[in-house]
Amino acid sequence: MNKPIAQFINVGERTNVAGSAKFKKLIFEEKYEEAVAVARHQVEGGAQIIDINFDDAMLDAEYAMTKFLNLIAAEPDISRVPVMIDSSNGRLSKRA
Amino acid sequence: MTDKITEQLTELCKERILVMDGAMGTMIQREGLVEADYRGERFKDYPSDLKGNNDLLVLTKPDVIEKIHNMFFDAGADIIETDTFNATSVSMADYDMQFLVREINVEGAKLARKVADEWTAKTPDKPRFVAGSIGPMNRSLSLSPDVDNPGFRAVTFDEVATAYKEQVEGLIDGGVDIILIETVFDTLNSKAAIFATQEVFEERGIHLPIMLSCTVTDMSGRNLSGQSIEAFWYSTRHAKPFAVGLNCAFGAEHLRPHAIAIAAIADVPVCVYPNAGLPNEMGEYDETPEVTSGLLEEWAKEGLLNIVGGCCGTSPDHIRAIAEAVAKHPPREVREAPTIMRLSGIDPVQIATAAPAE
Repeated sequence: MNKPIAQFINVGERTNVAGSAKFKKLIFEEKYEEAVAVARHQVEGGAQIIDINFDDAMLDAEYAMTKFLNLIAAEPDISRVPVMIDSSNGRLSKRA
Repeated sequence: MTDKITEQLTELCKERILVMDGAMGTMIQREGLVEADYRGERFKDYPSDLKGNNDLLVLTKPDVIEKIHNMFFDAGADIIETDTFNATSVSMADYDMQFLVREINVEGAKLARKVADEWTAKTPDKPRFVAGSIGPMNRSLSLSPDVDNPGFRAVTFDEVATAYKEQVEGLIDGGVDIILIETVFDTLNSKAAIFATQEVFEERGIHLPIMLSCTVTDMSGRNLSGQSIEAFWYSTRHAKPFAVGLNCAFGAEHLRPHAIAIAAIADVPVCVYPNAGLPNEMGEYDETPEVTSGLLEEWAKEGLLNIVGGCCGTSPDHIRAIAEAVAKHPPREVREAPTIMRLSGIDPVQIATAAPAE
C-alpha cells in the first residue's frame, strides 16, 4: 500500500547489538540465521522500519553489518520494510 | 542544480511528448554480422569469441551503428541512445575487454553526437539529443548468484561504482547530453551508477540531466531485486533525475499498470520505452508498429507520457508510428509532489508529516 502511514512509526529495535543482549550474542557467535529470524520476528510483529546497529568495540562491524544486510535483502518478508542504519561510526554508516 | 540541456529538455517536455529511439540489439541482429565483422582488422587475432559484443561495434563497425542512429532520427526520434549498454569493466570481462571500456564509451558517444548534430543542423526546429546508455551490468549487488549462500555477492558496491565511473567519464568526454541509467533490474546497481555519476559531476563542476529507467521482471511489477516501481522511485529520487520511468520488460500491454503507477507519483517527466510485445517461441518480437503505437497512443491520451520510445524488437518503423501517434496528444503534466517523508524497502513507505497543514 502506498498511502501515507501515521506519524507514529514502530521501529524494530531488536536488531541492535547495543540494545539486545540476545542479538549481540547471536552476532558474536556468527549465528546469522537466528539473527535474521530476529529481524523477521520484528517485521511480523508490526515493525514498519527496522533499526540496525552493530556498534561494539569488539565487533568487526563493517563485516558483520554487510553480511547481515545482504542476508536480509534476500528475505522479501523482511526487506519489504526500510532499514535504519544506526551507528556512531560515520564511515560504517556510509558503507552501509 | 540545473544546466542548459536540462532547461532545454524541460521546455520541450512542456510542449510535446518527446520520442526516443528503438532497439539497438535487434537492429544489429538484422545486419547478420558474423564473427569476422565484430573483430574487424584490429581484433582479428583476439583470443576470445567476440560475436555478440555489440558495444565493440562502435570501434569495429561504426558505419553500422551510425546507420542505425540515422534510421531512428529519420523515423522521428528526438533522443538516441549510445551503443554502450554493456560498456563497463564488469560486463566487458565476459570478452576479456576491460581495457577497451573507456575507448568504447568515448567513441560510442562521439559517433552518436556526430549523427545528432547533423540532424540538428538539418532540422534546427527539432534539436536532437544523445543519451549515454548505462546498462544494469551482468552482476547484481542485491542478489546472490549462489542459492546455498544468500549472503554472498559476486561484486561489491565500490567495484560497481568504480566501473560505472569509468563509463560515465567516457560518455561525458565523448559528448553525451544525458546520462541514461536504464533497464534497472537491481536498484542497488543503479544507486552505484547514480553515485558514480554524481561523483563525476562534482569533480568536474558540471551537471547533465540524468534519466532513470527501471525494468520489471514479472507480472506483479517488481524488478529482480524485488522492488515495485514506487519503491524504486523512493530509493532513487535523491538523484534528482530529469526523468524517471520504465523500459524493456514485457510489451506495452502488460507494462501499462506500472506506467500508471509511476505517472501518478513522479514529480518529474515520465519516460517509457517498452519492448515490441513479448517474444515468440523463437525469441523474436513480432508485435507490429501499428499495435505498439496504438497501445502507446492510448497512454498518451490518458496523459501518462512525457518521453516515449521502444526497447527490444522495436524498429524504425515502430518509432515512426509511435512518433506520429503521440504527436496528436499533449504531454503529461508534471506536478509537484507534496513534501512528505518517503522511504522504501522493497515496498514503498510514506510517513505523514508531523504537523498537519493549517
